[in-house]
Amino acid sequence: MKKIIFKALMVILCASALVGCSEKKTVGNEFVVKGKFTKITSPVIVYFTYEDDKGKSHKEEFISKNGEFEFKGSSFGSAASVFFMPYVEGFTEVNIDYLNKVGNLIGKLPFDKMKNFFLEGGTYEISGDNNLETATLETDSKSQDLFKEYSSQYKDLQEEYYQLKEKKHIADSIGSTDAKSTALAAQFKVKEKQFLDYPYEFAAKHPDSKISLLALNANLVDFDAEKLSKTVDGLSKEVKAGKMAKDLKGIAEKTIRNAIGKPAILFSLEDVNGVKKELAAYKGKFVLVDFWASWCGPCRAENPNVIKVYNKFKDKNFDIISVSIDHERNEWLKAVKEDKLPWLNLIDDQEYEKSTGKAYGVTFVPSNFLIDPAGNIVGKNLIGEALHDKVAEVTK
Amino acid sequence: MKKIFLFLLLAISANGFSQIMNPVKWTTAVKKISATEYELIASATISGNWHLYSQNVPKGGPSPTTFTFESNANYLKKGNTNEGAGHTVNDPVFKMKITFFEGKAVFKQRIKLKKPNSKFKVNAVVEYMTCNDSQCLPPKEVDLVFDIK
Repeated sequence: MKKIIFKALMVILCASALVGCSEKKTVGNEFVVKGKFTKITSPVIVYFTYEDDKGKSHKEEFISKNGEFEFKGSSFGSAASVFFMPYVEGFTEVNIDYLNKVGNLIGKLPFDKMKNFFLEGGTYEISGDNNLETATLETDSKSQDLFKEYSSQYKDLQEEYYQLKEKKHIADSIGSTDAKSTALAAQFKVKEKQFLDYPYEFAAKHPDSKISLLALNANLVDFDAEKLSKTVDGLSKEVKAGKMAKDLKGIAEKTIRNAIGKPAILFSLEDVNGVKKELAAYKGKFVLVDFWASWCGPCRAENPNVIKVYNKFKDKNFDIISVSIDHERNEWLKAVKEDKLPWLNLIDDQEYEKSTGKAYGVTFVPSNFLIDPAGNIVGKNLIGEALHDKVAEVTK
Repeated sequence: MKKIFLFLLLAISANGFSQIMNPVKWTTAVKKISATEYELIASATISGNWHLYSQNVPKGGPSPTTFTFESNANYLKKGNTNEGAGHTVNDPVFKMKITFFEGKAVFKQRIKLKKPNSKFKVNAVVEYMTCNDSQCLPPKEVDLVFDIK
């Protein structure tokens, strides 16, 4: 009874910050990760990786002589891992020489084991003998079980998906059309949908968990922008408050805004003579807006193909506008001349926030948008033969 | 030996949730040469088939990787930033010799301390661009911190 009263008193005192409490609480996104490994007797490098609350990734190292370590920082919510490497005097990084040196140390400790967990504000205590995988994790963060569930489900789905993809790829490449390969194609389709839908389903089921953000962020290649946007909207207020949710929403919105079927954003940029030219002047024509740069090898390699398309269709109400994202005007002018680009060449605004590239959601070059006479986007990122085919189809 | 490679890979992928648009991860290290000389090491881990370019790409080609070390009262730079060998190819598109890195790149800068064994931080910025066979990501700046202790 006395104990309980004492505890209650301590809680009150701690909360009102009247006394220095031995058990220091973390605030907000702050975390403390502590480790204690009893069977580590020779020095190890402890690696700790995570993303901080600004989305920056960290890889911290600490040389632990007695198996104890502590890391502090702040994280809104990220996957984190801890692992050990043998410590060799004189080496400050993992390189080939180091790997040769440590070769014989491996096996003395389970160096291939690691602890993966979900990191947010809170205290994390990892303890064990020398094996991180079997070590216990004690924490006031409530997300660990859900993180395990998410990680294992995602990993399984991902493995099954890539296995089937590989099998299907082999079947396709030898051109087999028997019942077995038809069944395989159907099976792949089901698995693909399952795999691609998993993040949205997970996030819909756990709207108040930051792990939903990890799930949604895991696939930004083949994502469904509408679904992504709706799913982010459905998350709880607290989860939506971080940078990650805003970034995801931003990516989704940009993609939706510039999707096939949407009206192309109008722009006005300088040409090679420094004269402003407008996309609006091309209304009534099919126009390919092609984002590129002088320093971009794949863009320069594609230019001869774009010239072929231009010559093939320029008499069919088709034109091209190239928008360079170069920062050095002279390099741009030189490349336009070298590649002999006969159409309108514009240079994008030098301020990224105001740039047309940003408005169009361009994250890499080459990127292009095919716009119809009404000013609507009818094609995107058309390269090689696909560009010929699409332009032929729409100008028919 | 094999084991190490495997778990280094794991460590990278575990944290690689937003790697799609960020194929290069930078880490820094400091190596003590003597009481007055240190080596600042910036390592780039480059994922998949992405290329990071050398500091010495001729003008008119891909943008080279550049390092800017913020000067402070504690140190002086000694020589230029060294880089590993990389791959040098005769690039058919740019019609020039281009050196690039795949998988991993290590850059080293020697510095001289004004006061032996002093403790301070060196801030630096690396600007770089990356390309694979079909696309390039625009030049990007990343802050690096080297802890001399």
